[in-house]
Amino acid sequence: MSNGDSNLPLLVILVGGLKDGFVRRAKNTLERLGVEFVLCDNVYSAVGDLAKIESTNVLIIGRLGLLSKEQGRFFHMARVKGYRCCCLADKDLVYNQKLILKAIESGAYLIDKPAEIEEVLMKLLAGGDIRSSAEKENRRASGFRKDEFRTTKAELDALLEVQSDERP
Amino acid sequence: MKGHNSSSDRNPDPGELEGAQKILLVGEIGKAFLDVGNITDERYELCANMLDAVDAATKNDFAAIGIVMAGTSPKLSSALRALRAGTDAKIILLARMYEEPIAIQLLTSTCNGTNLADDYLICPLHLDRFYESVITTETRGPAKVARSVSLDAKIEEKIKQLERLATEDDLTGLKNRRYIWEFSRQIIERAAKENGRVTLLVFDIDNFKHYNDVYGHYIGDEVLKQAAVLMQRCCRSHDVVGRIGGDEFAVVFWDDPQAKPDGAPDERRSPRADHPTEAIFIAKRFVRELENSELTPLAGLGPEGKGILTISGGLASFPRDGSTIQELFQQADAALLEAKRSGKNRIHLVGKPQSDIADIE
Repeated sequence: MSNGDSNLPLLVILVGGLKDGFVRRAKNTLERLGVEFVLCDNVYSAVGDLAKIESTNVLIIGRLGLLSKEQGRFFHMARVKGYRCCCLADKDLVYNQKLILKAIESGAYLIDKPAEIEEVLMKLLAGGDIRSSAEKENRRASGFRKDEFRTTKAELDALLEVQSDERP
Repeated sequence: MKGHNSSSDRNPDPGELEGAQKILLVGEIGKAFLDVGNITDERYELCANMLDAVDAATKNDFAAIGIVMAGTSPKLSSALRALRAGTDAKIILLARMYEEPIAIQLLTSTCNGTNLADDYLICPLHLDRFYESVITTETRGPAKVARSVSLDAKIEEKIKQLERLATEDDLTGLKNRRYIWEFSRQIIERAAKENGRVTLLVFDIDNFKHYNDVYGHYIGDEVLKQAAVLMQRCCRSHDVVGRIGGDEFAVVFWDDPQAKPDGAPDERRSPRADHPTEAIFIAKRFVRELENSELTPLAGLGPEGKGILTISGGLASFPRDGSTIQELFQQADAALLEAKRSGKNRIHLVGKPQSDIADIE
């Protein structure tokens, strides 16, 4: 996960509609913690808002399904720009494995319960780096560690019938 | 032409065009333009997807944004709303013929009182002409200021009129032969890639010359107009109906993913699969409607006028009966001839010379 500039105040981009219980919960938590945030209906308006801001101390929160539009392109953009992402990947939903991999590769922090968002925010506000715990959390959410992920990528690509970079 | 890297803010090189004279193209431009390989200038910037486009358009000034619908997300409205919020650039949708209904729908949708897109163009286009038409008529400041609003409206109306003349049959308002041909070509190309299916119905009105000779050409024209209305009423909204000759019509039935209800099963689409049941059902419905209709021009005939109008037609399907538009027309024409030879007032399927669609459940 890329570093945001922690000297700047944290800005959160919350992606999703208020009909979503996770978004409502995150919004309430942000208000209670006094964190500045922008609510965006979808990932496209999030990109539009991100293009207008200077700060790099940005955390983007949303459901994995919403943030992974356009084949996970958003995760790549966030990584390049140094933004952090925190995605809810509910245990009981089925996700495209390739998109989960893209999120993990870009350093996104995956949580599997809405309640965990509070812990993430507290950690960030306390000056902690969610990256240090991301690996553990990602392992929990996706079922394998990053080093395991590296060794099994070729196998996974074969399963998904994807042409791997390593192949001639 | 430049690929736009959304990850960095660009510092324009000296001598480059001002941002406000550049056009941002989004999606797979090879699907929209004929001469992509020849362009090496700085008039265009490229984005592969709508996320990068929103980022680029919010940070830079563009004269216009051309969005190739074929290469972008099927649900464009969210992305267009974000584009509208981030830029004042003119948004032009670049649609294939079969995407026209979606383009019109997007064009008429609004976001805070503004339409999601300003215009749409039917592809394929030439990059040079596209640039010239967008920059010269819409965005060069002085030209725009000098032109009065009423003149703009008149020119726009004139262009629409010319477009109608180029693609529509002026008697019936149906699409003309040129449109049907090009539409079929594009839709077959798409069907070949996406394992889809296209069915062509070619039909004419039995003994049409008789109406002209006995009742006069005015009545003949009215018969054609009412037959056209009836056919359109029987078809699905995305099917394309055209008049391709004097009393000859064609209908292109195709799989529209947007029109298919979620979870609806696909029909079999192998080359050996039978004709699609929807097309047969629609053709049957048309024949039935025609039998039951009392066409106004023939009202003077009293009860004898009812059911007097009959048609003969031929149905051919891609990929079953042919793989090009020429082959499909040839096959459908052959089936139409067979229908006429075997007594008229029937629609024949290619490969089933002994039976017309009335026998098919």
